[in-house]
Amino acid sequence: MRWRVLVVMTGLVLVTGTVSLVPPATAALAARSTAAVPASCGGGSHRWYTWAHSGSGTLQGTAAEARTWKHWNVAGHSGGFSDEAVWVINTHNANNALEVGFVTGQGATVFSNKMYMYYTTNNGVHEHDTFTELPKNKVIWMSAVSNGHQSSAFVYKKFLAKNIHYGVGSPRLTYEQAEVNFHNIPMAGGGSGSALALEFKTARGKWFDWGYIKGGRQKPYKIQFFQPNGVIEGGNGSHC
Amino acid sequence: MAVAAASAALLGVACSAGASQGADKPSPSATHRQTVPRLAACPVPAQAFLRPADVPRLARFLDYRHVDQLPIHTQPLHPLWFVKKYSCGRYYGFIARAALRGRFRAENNASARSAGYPIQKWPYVPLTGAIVTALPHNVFEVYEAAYRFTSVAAARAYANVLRHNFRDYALPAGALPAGFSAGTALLGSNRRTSERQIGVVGQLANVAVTVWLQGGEQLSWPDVAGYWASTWRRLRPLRT
Repeated sequence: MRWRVLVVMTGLVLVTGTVSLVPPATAALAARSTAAVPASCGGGSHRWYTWAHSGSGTLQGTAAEARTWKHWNVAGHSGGFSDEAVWVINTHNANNALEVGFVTGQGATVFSNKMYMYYTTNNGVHEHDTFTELPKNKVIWMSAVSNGHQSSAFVYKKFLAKNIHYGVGSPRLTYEQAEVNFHNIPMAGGGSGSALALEFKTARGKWFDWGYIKGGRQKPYKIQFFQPNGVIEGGNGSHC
Repeated sequence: MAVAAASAALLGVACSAGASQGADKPSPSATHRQTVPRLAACPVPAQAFLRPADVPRLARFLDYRHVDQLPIHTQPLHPLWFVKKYSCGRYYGFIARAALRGRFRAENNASARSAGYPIQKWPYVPLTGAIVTALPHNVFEVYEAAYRFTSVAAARAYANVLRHNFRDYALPAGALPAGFSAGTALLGSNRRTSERQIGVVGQLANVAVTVWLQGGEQLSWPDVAGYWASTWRRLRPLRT
């Protein structure tokens, strides 16, 4: 199988509040191609991923306007969890990373069949679950921000962490990832009628768009999505 | 900084004496001092887990016979080293029958509706509200898991990651077998109406074991000891 670079359509979701919609014209922020890797369904026969990344540099954060799931499922016999999250990652050390998002299913230290907010540091070593349920089918804002010394995690209406003593070193990569264990959970804002808008935060604290699902391609950025058997970026996965 | 140092140990090395960075095997000197354990194979046997008859006040609502994905958030292209060593697992969940009906279930349903969630066969967990205060010493949920790795070091590393996500919980001497420890957590933001959790984490050769015991506002070890005893009775044959 081959990786496929997928052009996504731009259906711009306006971010309420402080976001400028004009992407900056800096070469350091141009999208990069993902490395070619053998395509598979990820971690076993019941797991599907999508991910996307923009550029890296002195940027301080990744954010998304995403729609929470309209439906989800934790039944079945294969366990696991499903989540959607934004990350900011140290490109010199992938284990130095902040992840912020929402999840259902098996957590590191808990099980929940709600959609709840969480964040992790160190590529998942430390997991902080809130157990506060998110409303269904609602557009929310989630962000992972770090200046290299302190970090903040925000989902929906609250900070899960604010200026905590953990830093993601630069150069930092903007990254978004969704993973599901059940094929009827739409990923990455997915399914027709939904959208995902991705943003990055500059070193000066301004937010800019870098990617979209559904709609026209926004140059010079494009979202590249891993597409194993039948997974449709932004849509429903299917069995391998 | 202490957290960062501990995280570095977990990210690069098994958290035990004698393990070299990124290696699966103990150092030669450690091997000479230790008996090499017999490694468990896949699948983890079903008879090692609680059966419904062992816990008559609880109903089994999760039956994950094949946990394909280790329940830890990590980047699929850059997984934590021990994630790559994971091979198979099982996970079972039980919920108190008292939570399935009457006023406690009605409250759970009302909370779900306020978030737009559909009312389904099982309540939304972790439980919150009146059940936590009305039954302060009751056990409401039990989750048991065993995760098999290709090496003892990998199982140890994962168990140590889990331990770091709990607050320490001191138990009477002899309450747990060697290689097992307990931690505690509050599963929500409300100290009165959020479930208390006592988590037991341990290792049997190349199998990491977790038992989450969750319940009322004043849950403590005497309340859960019987459930742990039933769990250990079935797990003990896995010990080599």
